[in-house]
Amino acid sequence: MNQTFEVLGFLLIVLTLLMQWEAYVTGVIFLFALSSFIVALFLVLLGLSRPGQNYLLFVLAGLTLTIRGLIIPIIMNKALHRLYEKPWRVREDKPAMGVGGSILVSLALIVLGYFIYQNSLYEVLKIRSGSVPFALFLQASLLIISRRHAYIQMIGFLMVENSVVMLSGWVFSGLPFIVEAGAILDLLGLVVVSSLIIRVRENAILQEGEGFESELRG
Amino acid sequence: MDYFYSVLEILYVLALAPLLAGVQNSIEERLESRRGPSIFQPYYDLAKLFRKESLVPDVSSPIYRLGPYVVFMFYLFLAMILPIITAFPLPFAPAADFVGGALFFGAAAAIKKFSAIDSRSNYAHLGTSRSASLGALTEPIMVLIFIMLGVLSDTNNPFVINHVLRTSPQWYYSLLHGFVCVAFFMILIIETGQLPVESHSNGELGMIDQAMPFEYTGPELAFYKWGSYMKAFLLMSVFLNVFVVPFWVPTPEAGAAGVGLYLLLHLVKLLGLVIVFALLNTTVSKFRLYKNFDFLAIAFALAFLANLAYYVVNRK
Repeated sequence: MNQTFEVLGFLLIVLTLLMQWEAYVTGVIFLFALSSFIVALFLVLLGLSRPGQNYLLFVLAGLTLTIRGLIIPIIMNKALHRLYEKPWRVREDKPAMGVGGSILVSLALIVLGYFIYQNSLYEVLKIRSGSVPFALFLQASLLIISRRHAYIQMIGFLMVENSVVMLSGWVFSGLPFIVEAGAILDLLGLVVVSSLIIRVRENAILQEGEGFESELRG
Repeated sequence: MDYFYSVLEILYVLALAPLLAGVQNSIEERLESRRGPSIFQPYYDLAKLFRKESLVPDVSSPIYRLGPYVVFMFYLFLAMILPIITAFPLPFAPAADFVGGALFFGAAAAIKKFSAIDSRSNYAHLGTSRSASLGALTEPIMVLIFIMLGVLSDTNNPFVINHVLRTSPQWYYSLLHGFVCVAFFMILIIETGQLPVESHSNGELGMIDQAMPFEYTGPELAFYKWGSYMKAFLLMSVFLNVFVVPFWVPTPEAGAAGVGLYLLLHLVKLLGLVIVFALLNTTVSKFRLYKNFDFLAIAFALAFLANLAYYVVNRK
């Protein structure tokens, strides 16, 4: 079972790397939905591996699947369709950091997460790949810093939340905390969504005059 | 017998390398609902080029003339040392290990670039500069991949790596192996010039390898092209026999009949890979030139994650 968790953890790391690579917002939303599905699968497997005690893990998996795997991506897609004339062409055209550079920094952060975990918590917990959620957390934070597009920043935030769920479910098995934190962060997410959408709308109105030049840029 | 296999291996690569390009081209055309040329078209092209006279620019030095022949010879040498039709080393295999093989590929690419620069054509220079800036970043990734395979098998001998992956499922199904395979596939796309990176057209905005032999004519161009086909054939064979499908490659016990059978089976394996490439080439659109480096960054990230996966998962 441990090996399955390791594979899923590395899959999440790769998906976050692909988010750094992907320029189109619809692509990033799709990748986020995919990673939420993986987190849900992870929670289900975790529940199966600890029989009898944590039925709440299945509830949490269901919530992750519906809210973060389906509802949030659908809402974001709809908002994209409302805001832009050609939603499939909306992309990050002026990132704060180049794509190649941000992937390399991301790698450095993964290694940093590994070293921090290995030298602090590993002695106590003895879980081999417990560094994966730390790495995800740092990567998602980088996604927020390195991109300027509000949608992608928001997805970075939601990825941070995914990594928190993973961390608390796997490394510390304190479930009530997860449910609470998940719910609160989702609420917070909604607030952020609505505030950011307003910002995006303003930006969209400002950018309308620029035409094709901004598309050719990056 | 081993010497016979060596000769057989060279002839196999020499004879079938152009066929692979022809088959790929034909499949791509069929996927686009066109009839396309015969799968033997590359052979006709080579035959035509061998009959033509060769023209040499006044300003070039002998390097220009010699380049294609030397590169061709390098690939012939590589055909002797890599595991293509046998899973046991043939007499010349000890000449170079995996890193040595990568060095020979690198050397061949460097000679190609020197001779292209020596043609003093602007287009050749443009292609060389692009190819060099991509190559400077693909080589380290390849070396990283080979180091990870070395970690997995405790050697850098391709035959031993094939043996380890064939016989131990815990390595074959490991994260390390998965990451290494995907990273090498991405490098393979760059080295064989498949679509997300390079299109097979003469549009100067995107051409990389197409631009380098711009001034070549006649037999030199034929050797240059044949060398390119052989390079693709060798790299694809290594990808299949060492990385992804290390199974069924004949061991010494298989005998001559086994090797004979594998000659056909290997073509089937290659056909599978060619179909994948054809699907890529007909569905994916080309990156802009400077976006190729993001693609390389992902390949590097995967090779690097193989390293981390080893530390996290497999370390004792």
